[in-house]
Amino acid sequence: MNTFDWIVLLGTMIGIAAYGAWHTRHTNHLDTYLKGSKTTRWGTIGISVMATQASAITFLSIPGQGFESGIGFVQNYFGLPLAMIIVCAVFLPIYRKLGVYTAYEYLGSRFDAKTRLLGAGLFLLQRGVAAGVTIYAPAIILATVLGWRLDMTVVGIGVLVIVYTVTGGSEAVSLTQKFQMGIIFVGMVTAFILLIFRLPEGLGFNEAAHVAGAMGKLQAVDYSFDPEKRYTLWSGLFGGLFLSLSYFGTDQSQVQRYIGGAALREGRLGLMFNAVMKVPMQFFILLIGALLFVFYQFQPAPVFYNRVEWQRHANGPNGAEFRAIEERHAQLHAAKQETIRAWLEVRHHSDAAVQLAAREAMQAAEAETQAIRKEAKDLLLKHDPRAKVKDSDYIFIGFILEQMPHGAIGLLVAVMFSAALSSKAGELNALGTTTTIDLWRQFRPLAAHDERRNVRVAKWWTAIWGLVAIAFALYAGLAENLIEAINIIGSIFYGVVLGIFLVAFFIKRVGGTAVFWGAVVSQTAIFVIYFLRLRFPVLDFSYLWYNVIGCAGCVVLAVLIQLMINLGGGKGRTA
Amino acid sequence: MSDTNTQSSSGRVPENEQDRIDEDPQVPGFRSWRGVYIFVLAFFVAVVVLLTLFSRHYA
Repeated sequence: MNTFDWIVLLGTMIGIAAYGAWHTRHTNHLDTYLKGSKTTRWGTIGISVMATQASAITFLSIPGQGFESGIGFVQNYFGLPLAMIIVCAVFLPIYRKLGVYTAYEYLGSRFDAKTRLLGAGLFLLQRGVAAGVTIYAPAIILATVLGWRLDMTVVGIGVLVIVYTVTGGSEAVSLTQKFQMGIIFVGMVTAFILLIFRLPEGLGFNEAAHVAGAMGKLQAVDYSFDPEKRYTLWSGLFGGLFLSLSYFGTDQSQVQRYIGGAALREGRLGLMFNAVMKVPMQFFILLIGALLFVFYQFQPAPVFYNRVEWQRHANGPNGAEFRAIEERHAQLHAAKQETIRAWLEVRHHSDAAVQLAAREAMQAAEAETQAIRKEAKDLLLKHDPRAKVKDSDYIFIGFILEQMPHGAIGLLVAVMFSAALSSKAGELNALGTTTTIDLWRQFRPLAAHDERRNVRVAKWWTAIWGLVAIAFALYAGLAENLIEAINIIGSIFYGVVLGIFLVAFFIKRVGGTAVFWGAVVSQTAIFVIYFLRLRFPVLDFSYLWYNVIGCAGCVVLAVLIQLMINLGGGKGRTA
Repeated sequence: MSDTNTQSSSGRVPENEQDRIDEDPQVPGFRSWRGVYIFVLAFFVAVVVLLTLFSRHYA
């Protein structure tokens, strides 16, 4: 990065944060601070919902996913449009009708205080732990490739987001997210256009897409029912619906984004904007990854894309082994390039048998290259068992730094930081709001009418959660497989929370006591399954199933407990 | 408290007065939210079909 890149990066990041803080500095009404401006229109709400979901990891990892496994990952988002419609038709009108600040406040209205505290507590526990990761995960990648100090990167992102989120609350979050998403859109379109221009002469988008397709990178939709396959239309529709419903319908970091606004119409249209835009947007980001794959077929490509990590070992005492693999990879890569060019030659002119032979030769060469990449990762693990061998997160950022012109580098690094700040801001805003409304105010009911005090307390809690996130991110490196651990923690809690909300919305006869104990028992069962999975292999299934078990368990148990209460003549229904 | 009540536990003024006016989505070409939802579903189906055609074309 040169001076021009730094001007672009710091200018956009500090400029947006400073404008957000300055523009909302006089926010002292609780409604505005927690829900945003009363005049917010659907466009701002829609962008805010999108920005909160799209973290820096989205823009670092998803192109890498397209590069490695193709664009099939897009199916993961197929349940989202349906979930959005359910949230629009059922969840949002009730939240607005009650005028709640948090989703858990609704549980207090529908059930009782203990169920509200349970919902809020589960959210704070899950999001609070995850808060550090949304800073740490992009910071570790950016610090590695840019040669920055990790602690300074973490503190820089954290302090910047705390300043404007604490100052202007929800209004500042929505305002800055609008500009940050603008940077992201411009940056990603710029990257796409420059990538097309960087392809070898005579290889336009169409030919490049044919190469990617022949290598199996453009298989977007898989209609098979094979449970072994990770991404299919059906797993995307079912699993995606389930996860999107719990995330958009019950997670305060999303609920807070659409609950305010000028009218119900604005929230609904904002969600519909996401229902329409999300799948095409994810397809576009994955397509960049697939085209990056084609780009690197015609360039000297590294055997391992986290070049800093690789060089550390290549320059170490076992360097000879690493350099030998590098050389073998370079030879195979050059041979593969020849097979691709041969296939492109015969693709239009020869008969089908020749075409097929050329295609098979190209695919065999790709398989050999993949085998040597695996060998390289095994070698890294052999000499450093703690080495992070997942290098796909480094592919897109590596391309940006090596292939983009100055100015565009600054813009694309700003894309990553914008995404980190926008998702972090939504998260902090939700954590501060939930702690103030569902915990602090619950124990200080007389303070509910002192609006200024409420705003002050919400600001303090937002700042405290920001500092907790920074502290966690600074020590996150101590934990192994941290990101997966956080995903597991999310799955452990998400199902039960969704179960509570589904009972609240759809099973009117079930009261607070029944759903509370149903949730407690289901949550305990999930913990038991998780901790006993190593001792009993039958319990060692994918953690994504915790969502289904938690939700179904909570709903079924709540209904059964309610039946028992009714049979016993008790008053299970909250008055 | 049932979820059909219009007043929140905190005693704030409900926002349903403005929301009721908004039953009409005020989106050109749509007279109800059901129409908007059907359009979104149809758009999603169209995207899946286009993605399938895209995959087959470049397979």
